[in-house]
Amino acid sequence: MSKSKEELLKQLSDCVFEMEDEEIISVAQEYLDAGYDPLEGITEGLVDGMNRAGVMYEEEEYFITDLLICSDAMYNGLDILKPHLPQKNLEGEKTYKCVIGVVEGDTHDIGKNLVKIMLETAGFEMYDLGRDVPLRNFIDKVKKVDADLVCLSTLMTTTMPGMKKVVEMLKEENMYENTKVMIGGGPISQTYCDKIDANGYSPNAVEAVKLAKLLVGMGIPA
Amino acid sequence: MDYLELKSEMDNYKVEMSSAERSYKYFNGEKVDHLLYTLQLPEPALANIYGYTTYQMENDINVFKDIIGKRTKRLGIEGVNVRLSLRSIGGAVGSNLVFPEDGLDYIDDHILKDYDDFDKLEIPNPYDNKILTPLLERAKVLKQSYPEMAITTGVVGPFSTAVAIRPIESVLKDTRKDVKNLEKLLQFSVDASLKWIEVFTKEIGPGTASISDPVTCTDILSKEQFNKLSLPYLEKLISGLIEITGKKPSLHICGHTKGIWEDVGKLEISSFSVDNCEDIGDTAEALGDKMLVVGNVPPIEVFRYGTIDDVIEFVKSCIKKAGDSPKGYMLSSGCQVPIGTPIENMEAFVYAVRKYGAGARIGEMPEGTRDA
Repeated sequence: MSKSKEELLKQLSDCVFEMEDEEIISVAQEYLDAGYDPLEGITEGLVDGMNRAGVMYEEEEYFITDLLICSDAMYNGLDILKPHLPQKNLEGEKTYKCVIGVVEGDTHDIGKNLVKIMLETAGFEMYDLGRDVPLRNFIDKVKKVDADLVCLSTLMTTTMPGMKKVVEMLKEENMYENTKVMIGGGPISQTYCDKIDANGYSPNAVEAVKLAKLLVGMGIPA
Repeated sequence: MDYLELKSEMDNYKVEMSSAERSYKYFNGEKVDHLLYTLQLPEPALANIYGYTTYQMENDINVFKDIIGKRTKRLGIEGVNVRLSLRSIGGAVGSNLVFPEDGLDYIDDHILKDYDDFDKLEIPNPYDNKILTPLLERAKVLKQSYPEMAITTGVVGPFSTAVAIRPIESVLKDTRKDVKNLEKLLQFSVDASLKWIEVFTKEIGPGTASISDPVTCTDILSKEQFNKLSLPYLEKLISGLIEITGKKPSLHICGHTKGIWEDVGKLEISSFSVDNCEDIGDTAEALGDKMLVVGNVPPIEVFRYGTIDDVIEFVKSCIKKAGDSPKGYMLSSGCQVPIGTPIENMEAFVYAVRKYGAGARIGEMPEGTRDA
């Protein structure tokens, strides 16, 4: 007898949460073959698993390595389910767009990658510029996709001033009011955030999601 | 206080002994003029202060000598550490290392993406390597120029070296999925570092080697990963260093380390330098009866962006917390002094150590704290 939808959703969630990045491929396929809704498979299955992993990370039961493997599992599941999603978003539903990258001169991107994964899981449409990103590229991309949020990361003190520069450029181009700037990385602090007029700082990837939602007003009725 | 006041205040605290003499007496239980102090790699910041780029400093020995000379004179910090950067071994085995005109080196492409290529890696020969040989030559020139000065070197912890050879995300996943190959890579990292130390010791002489290991913090590794994969190779590196140099190395780990202090306490090291995200008082309590404790004025909040008074206050609080650490306490920055740090703040640091660390004897609170 084929498995129920609930059973398979639970299995998808568990595969992500328990870091079964290979097993998830067959589970996702089984879910599709049974004719269940791919969107629900993502939100109630994969994303649910990633959220559970995020909670464990917050509780210091999971570490960076665990989140990385959980996210591998999530993306493997997404690869199967995503092509079967209806092409258009539901009308009237606001999509929050976020540009993210490591500022010029720095190639440390593990923190940025984790934040990207967690924001993507939370429903943001992510535009990842990668690492060592020329500062101008942030502005251009924000403009091009009309982003609600820009996330800047760096691990090095030498490249911190790049964040300030991005804020200044947003101000110069009159984009500062509409685009929120979130910063993070080893040497960054709330004090530095205040100093450069960024809109928020978060110490880790899970906190970053809460902050991002708050900054753009996601989930808050208009 | 402003800079002029600081300069005039500083005249009240004269230096009575050389740094070598102070250190020798302090560790022999004698009273010294003030507590020991150092700064973590302030040279790139000093390069900018004295009108050079970091690239000039790295590539022109005369520029480097000028900076070292000025540093010693102005801040009283002696000795030269011609150490491997966090990325040197990675660069030496073929990861692409970028040296910006002004800033720190970084890797933009790792050499070992697939373990099938592992056998192509060779332990770099310090006499014939594009990254290591210039460093060795630099140390030789410095030794000739400053026969009286201690020329030391440093290496990087095995896990931190591994992530300069293979991308960190892959290395972290290896801890779960490919432990066997990761262990090979960690052993390679130990062997490559020891080869450098062996040649350096032969050419320049034995000294206390420093170890930096930023990846080994609990922000990145779980305790389980640390115990299973980092600690055994760190121990191998340390015993190798002792065998070659005859001296226990010093260790600095960036980030949170409280969760591994018990293990750090069992290592054969002479000192532990703690990041500013941990409390120096807690560090001294946990490790102070086993080794010299070093730290931990915040590099960014205090050195780079703080005022003269912020620096002085922080030094004072460090001394109050750790000044009587049983095996000794040395003031330092919690991590590398960032580029852009004003010289005024470095001088304020030295001033505060001389004032509040005055009349220091190992294991006792310095007399200067009475003024605090």
